[in-house]
Amino acid sequence: MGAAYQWLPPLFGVAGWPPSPSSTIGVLLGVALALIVVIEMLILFRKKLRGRKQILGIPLGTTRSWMWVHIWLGLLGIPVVLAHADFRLVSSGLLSLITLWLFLLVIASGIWGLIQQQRLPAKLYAEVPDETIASQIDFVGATHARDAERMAKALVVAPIDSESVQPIVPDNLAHYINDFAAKILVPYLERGGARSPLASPARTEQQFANLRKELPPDASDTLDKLQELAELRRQWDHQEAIQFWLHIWLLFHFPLSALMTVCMVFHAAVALKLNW
Amino acid sequence: MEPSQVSNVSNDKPNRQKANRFTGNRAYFRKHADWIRQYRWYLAGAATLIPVLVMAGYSVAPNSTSYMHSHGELANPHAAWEHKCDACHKQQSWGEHKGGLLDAESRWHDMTCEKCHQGAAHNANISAAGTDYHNRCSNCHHDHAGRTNSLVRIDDEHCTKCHSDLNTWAKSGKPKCDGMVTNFASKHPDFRPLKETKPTDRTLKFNHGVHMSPGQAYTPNGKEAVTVAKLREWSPALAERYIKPGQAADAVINLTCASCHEQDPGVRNADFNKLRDELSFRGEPTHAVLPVRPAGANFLPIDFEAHCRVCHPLNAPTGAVKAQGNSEQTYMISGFSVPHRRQPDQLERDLGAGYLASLVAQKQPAMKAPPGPGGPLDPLPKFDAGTLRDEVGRLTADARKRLLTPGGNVTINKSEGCAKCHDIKDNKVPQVADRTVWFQAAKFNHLAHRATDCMQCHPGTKAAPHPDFKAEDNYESPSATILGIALCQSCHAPAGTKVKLPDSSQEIRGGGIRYSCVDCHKYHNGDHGLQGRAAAAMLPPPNELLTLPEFLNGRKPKAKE
Repeated sequence: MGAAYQWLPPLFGVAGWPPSPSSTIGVLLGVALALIVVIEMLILFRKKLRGRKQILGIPLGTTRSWMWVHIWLGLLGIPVVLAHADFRLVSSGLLSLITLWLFLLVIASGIWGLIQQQRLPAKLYAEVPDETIASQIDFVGATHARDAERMAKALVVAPIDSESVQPIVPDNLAHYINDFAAKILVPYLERGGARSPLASPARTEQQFANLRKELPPDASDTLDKLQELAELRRQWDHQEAIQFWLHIWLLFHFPLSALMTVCMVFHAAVALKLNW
Repeated sequence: MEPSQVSNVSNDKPNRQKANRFTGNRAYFRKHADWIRQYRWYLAGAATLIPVLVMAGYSVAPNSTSYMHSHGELANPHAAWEHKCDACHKQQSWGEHKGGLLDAESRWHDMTCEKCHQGAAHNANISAAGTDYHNRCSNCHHDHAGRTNSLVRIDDEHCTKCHSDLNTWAKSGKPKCDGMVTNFASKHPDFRPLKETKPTDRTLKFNHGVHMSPGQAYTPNGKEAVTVAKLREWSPALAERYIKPGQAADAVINLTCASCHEQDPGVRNADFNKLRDELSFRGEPTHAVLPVRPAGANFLPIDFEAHCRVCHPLNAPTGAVKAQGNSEQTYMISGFSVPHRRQPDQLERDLGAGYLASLVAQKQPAMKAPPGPGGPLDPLPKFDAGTLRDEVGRLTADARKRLLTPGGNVTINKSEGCAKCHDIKDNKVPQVADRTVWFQAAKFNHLAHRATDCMQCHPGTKAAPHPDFKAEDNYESPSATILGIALCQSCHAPAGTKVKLPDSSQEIRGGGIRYSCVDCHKYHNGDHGLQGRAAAAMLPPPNELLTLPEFLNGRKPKAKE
């Protein structure tokens, strides 16, 4: 693209090509780029006004259409910024260079985010059938941990209103379920984590198989429920990982956009030699 | 959700009346701001703050943050102003520029180069567009490209912009020089001095082949060869320069190019001092002829006293005078050395003075009266002034005729005169053209070519048998002694260029040595090989010279109000 930009116009008799970044054409390209950046930044305000269809009687358009404009204008910015920089990605002033590369990084992070936003929801839908609200995973996990504690306790303590005075799990076997619940199951349900034995489906199956082997058959229903909780937590861990990749690009895209915009303003003021 | 966690609420709104308020753990529904959402705002804030702080620093002290927008290091000559942008760039406000706000390039290229660099006026026959182009120094001279970047080693395109089609840039008429030059290696005219100079323009008879032949005996059975013994006899003080160590007395003298064409006078060594003393003795301006340690790009000027007199002593011939009162007896008046650089009339005065001095010298036998009657006790007869004047005039006229008449001499060392080398017309010795620098529109560095045999470029100067030497052979053609542009292009062309050797049909692969315009040409009055960067036109006016603080700050002195 750079070669075509540099060589084609002279072939058609265009003189003084390629224009330098500080030439009139170069400055106009810079102005166009600044307008693109401003429009790109406006999506932030549109999101803040989510739910409103107009402001001061002016229709705002849907957030979805704003995102479409945001994406395509951003992509259009790539050739514009390269033309503005005369396709020189290394030789320039430090501020110009920083601004140029920040712009490219912002666009790159946006493209990365766009790809993730297209790919990961389908992956989430397929691999985490029992997903919950991402921000509530730890809260729900803690709730499940308390439930698990109660279920484990119910196995080793006879209910008050029970006709039998004997618990489902006799005292001499109680340490199996108590140790498992206290050291493995409850911490995993509360915090998750890849280091837990329950993070692996195979090892989870083995852990619960061992318990079923040691504990009376009456404990099987409870053990099934506990295994189900562990399974849920594992899914949510996976959901967290997917959510991380689904949103982490914003940690780059957003601050880099802010940094690039300020640098761009600074760069424009210096490059136009305003009041200096 | 258990039923106990839902309670009835009373409200006057119908829908609310139907609803049950959730009274359980509401923390579940509290929106937890995830860390990505939080940190992106923190980072965005920090990212905004950092450049704003830098910008604030810039507005307070723009020079200290010049690294932010400088396009690169300044070249070494400008390094003192690396962080003082306003030393070169003119300060401008919003509306203070001719190109408008969008013409940022003009705003940045509006500089104050002329504070230090005056530069001579550009070619007068140039269009308005060409003048505008030349008036902006930075159109050709690009700084901010590193310390070692040369500001004068500019790309060819800056020159060929006009010189590839000079007719369109000329204000009127046809340009003086070739108007279609695009590249030295492929499209460049031959050297003008070689094309335009005729052999007779030299006004000096000189044949390199004669002088490069052993003993300078160029023609067989012609003149006698110059030997070591003869040279020592003619010029004892200067002879040793031309004699190789250990040469026998009867060995012939073999001159080399360097015997006469010197690049370095050898400051403070014995040879230099001897030469300087000799020149001084002859009344020559030694410092002008022998500059202090030149760079060696050009050869020092050939000087008669330094290079020619050793074999060609310029002497008044020996004359014969009759003794006083005795017309039958004659006495010989010895010849004497006469100075160089004299026109015939001046020479005549020198000759007369020389002969007169010889005649009136004490113990000059020709002035003694013969003993008459009465013997030596009688007073001497009165001096006959008329006879003395006549004798001096006769001797002078004879000497002048022999010195100024071509072919008036017989042997190499006894009676060679001015006409040996000079074409004397209308009783004048024409001024000899200054050929110290042949290519005055370009620069050529002989020192850079020292590894090459001189004859490669100057084939017409080598010794060669020449049985039919004629007088006109003394007028060498410039094109025979200096080869043209084709020879230069053998080396100064793209690498791998096929080169046909001048003295054979053999082709070799040559080229590869730089061949851009500025390798040979200068601009701004610097083209003249004998002028250059210190020419008066290049210097700033005396009233605009800077003090050291002003120089280091890159500022002109403030005009006194």
